[in-house]
Amino acid sequence: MSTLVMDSRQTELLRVLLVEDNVLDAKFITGLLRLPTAALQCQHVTRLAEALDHLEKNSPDVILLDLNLEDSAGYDTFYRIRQAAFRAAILVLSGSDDEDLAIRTVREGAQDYLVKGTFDGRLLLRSIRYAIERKRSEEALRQSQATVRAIFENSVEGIVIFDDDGICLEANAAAGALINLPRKELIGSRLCDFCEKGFEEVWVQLRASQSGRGQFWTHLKDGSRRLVDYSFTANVLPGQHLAMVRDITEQQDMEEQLRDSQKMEAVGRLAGGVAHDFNNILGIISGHAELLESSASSQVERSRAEKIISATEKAASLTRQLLAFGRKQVMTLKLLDLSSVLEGISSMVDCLVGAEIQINIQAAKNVGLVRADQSQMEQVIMNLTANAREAMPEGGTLTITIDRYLSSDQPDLPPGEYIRLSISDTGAGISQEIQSRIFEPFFTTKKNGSGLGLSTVYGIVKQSGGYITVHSEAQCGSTFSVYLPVINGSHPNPTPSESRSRSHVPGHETILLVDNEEDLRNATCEYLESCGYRVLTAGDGKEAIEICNRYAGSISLLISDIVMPKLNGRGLVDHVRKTRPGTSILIISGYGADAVWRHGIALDPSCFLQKPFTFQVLSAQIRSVLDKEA
Amino acid sequence: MFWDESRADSEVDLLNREGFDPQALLHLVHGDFNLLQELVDLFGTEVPGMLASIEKAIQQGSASDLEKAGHKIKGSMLQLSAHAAAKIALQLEKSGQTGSMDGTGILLEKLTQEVHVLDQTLRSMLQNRLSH
Repeated sequence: MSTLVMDSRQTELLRVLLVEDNVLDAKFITGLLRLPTAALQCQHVTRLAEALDHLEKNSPDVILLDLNLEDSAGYDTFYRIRQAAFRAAILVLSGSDDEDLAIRTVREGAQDYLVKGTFDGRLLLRSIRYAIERKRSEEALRQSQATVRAIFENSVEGIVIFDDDGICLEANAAAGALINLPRKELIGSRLCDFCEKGFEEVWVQLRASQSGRGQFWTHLKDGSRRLVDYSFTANVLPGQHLAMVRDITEQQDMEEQLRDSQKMEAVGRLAGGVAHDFNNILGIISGHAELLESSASSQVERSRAEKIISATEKAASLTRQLLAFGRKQVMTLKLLDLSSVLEGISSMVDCLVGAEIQINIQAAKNVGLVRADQSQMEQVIMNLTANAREAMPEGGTLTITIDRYLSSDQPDLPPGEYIRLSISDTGAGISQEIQSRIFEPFFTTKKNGSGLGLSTVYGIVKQSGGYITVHSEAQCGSTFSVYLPVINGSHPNPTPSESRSRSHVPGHETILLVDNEEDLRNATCEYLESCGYRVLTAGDGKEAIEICNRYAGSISLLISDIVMPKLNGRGLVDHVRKTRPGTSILIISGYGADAVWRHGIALDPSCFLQKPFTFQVLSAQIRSVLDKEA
Repeated sequence: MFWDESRADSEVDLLNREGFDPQALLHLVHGDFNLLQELVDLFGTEVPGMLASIEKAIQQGSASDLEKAGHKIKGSMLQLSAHAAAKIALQLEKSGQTGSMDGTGILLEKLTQEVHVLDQTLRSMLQNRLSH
């Protein structure tokens, strides 16, 4: 190996490897490169093996290569050198004017091909510099292409190149996955073959407008369909059009589910609000009916008043359901008789299933008690009932069974005694594949289902320490069974209607009654006065505070609504507790008990009464609060 | 394609030229007589070996060796603008390619003669340069 260091005044010293077996030719070439303008470090080897060894340790900028060496000849020499030095520019110097070989080497990566005797020093030097620049440009292009290729192949978005006729010229794997086809099968296919009918017109419009975005449904071979979001750019290269595509089917499903959830939330709020207002109205009706009853001069008048009171109680039961639906009630665990719970909502169950479905209820009495939230249990029954109804669009039989069940050796149910609530339908049944997913949130097979019904049931049952199973066979209907542990040796908590006493409880204390519903306030006032109480009344919190401040005597009890104009119940309660610590407090509201803590009022649960209430219940509650304080 | 075949004389063009072109050689080496001296010195040591390789290939009837040896000396003759010698070397190379050994002995004699003349001419060029 010989080394020739030439002019180093140039800032960039080019490293040249001359591979030439003819020492006379090598001398000629290195001699030509001794130009004043050259800044080269040239090393000469005569054999291919020597060249490969040199390239293992060095990275020349350019290789001047004679193809015919002692140990290699022709294209093979070029191929071996190119493999060993893919970053170097290669300039072939040949004694043969072989055009085919020249074209082949240039096509395969040589930067130039010069015939010996046709170049002087200047031309050779210029060729070297051009070759290096070309190589650098090629390398930059290669890296850019590699980057683009990596992005193309690894993009999670589908990328497709189409020709003018919508034929796929190139596609990445993500595009193939989107329509469940191998990438190779996608190439050569027509775009419109995968789109819904009428997309041909869209394609023409896209071509005309040069770019655009949109969505289309694509039908897969397995019969399913996916919603595709696309972005189109025409002529990214002449006659080649780019489309970026992605599957938004699940995203759209999620958005629909979110919209449904929000809709349900809105409906719930509306129901809760309506129930609150309705409770106030019922309170007025109920109160005046009780006044009529107490002042009735005949049995007929008394009977009519009782019918009004009875009707308001039924209406109050319905509003409780609305409040539960609107989730305005907090979870309150208490001992429940599920048969009584079912009985309480039987009218709603009737309404829910409709006339086409026959209802068969087999609810045994006194089977035992469970510890659960009543409104949640009502929701479980309603959701499972709604699910059964959906399974029988053309009618059938809905069977609700409540019984006691002893588990001894079952895989999904620990040993013990349970109250079993079973709801069966005679619908088409649920396939095995779907059965494993039906309790997942947002999983639904219904077109307009939220996928929340059964998942809510599952959550409530688990929260209550219970278990749920489903048994279903094709064309034989489905049975959902809820198992809640039996609480032995206890008695059920009284329901509000049962706790209502018809007794008239007299009193003598002073009561401050605050309610913005004037009719209800007046009726209540009249009733309490008839019981012997001295009653001060106010239409809002601010007026009540003025009375508190002005009234010199003792006020034994504050009865107040929560939601009122000017100053709400919380502000009033805080003031009374501060200025009159001896005054007892009883909160009344058209909302559920949770409204008390939602408004930040610390209160014993026994000091709350939900509207509508009968005056007898009110008087009993007043006595209970006052006597407890005493 | 980057290769510009029109920018330089082709091998065919060179081989169609007659004899040795001293001016062309001086042009290629940019009048660098030092380089020319080095080339002439190497010519004296390398070219006899090349001719011997051709002779050996002919004697042994090895067409492939004849092709290689003919190709090698052809490149050197082209570099030195010795067109007549390069033309004969090409004929020897082609004889090797085709495997036809007929007349190769005569071609070798002609080539040897051309090379001898070339050597004399190159040396006289250098001599004249020194005397001037």
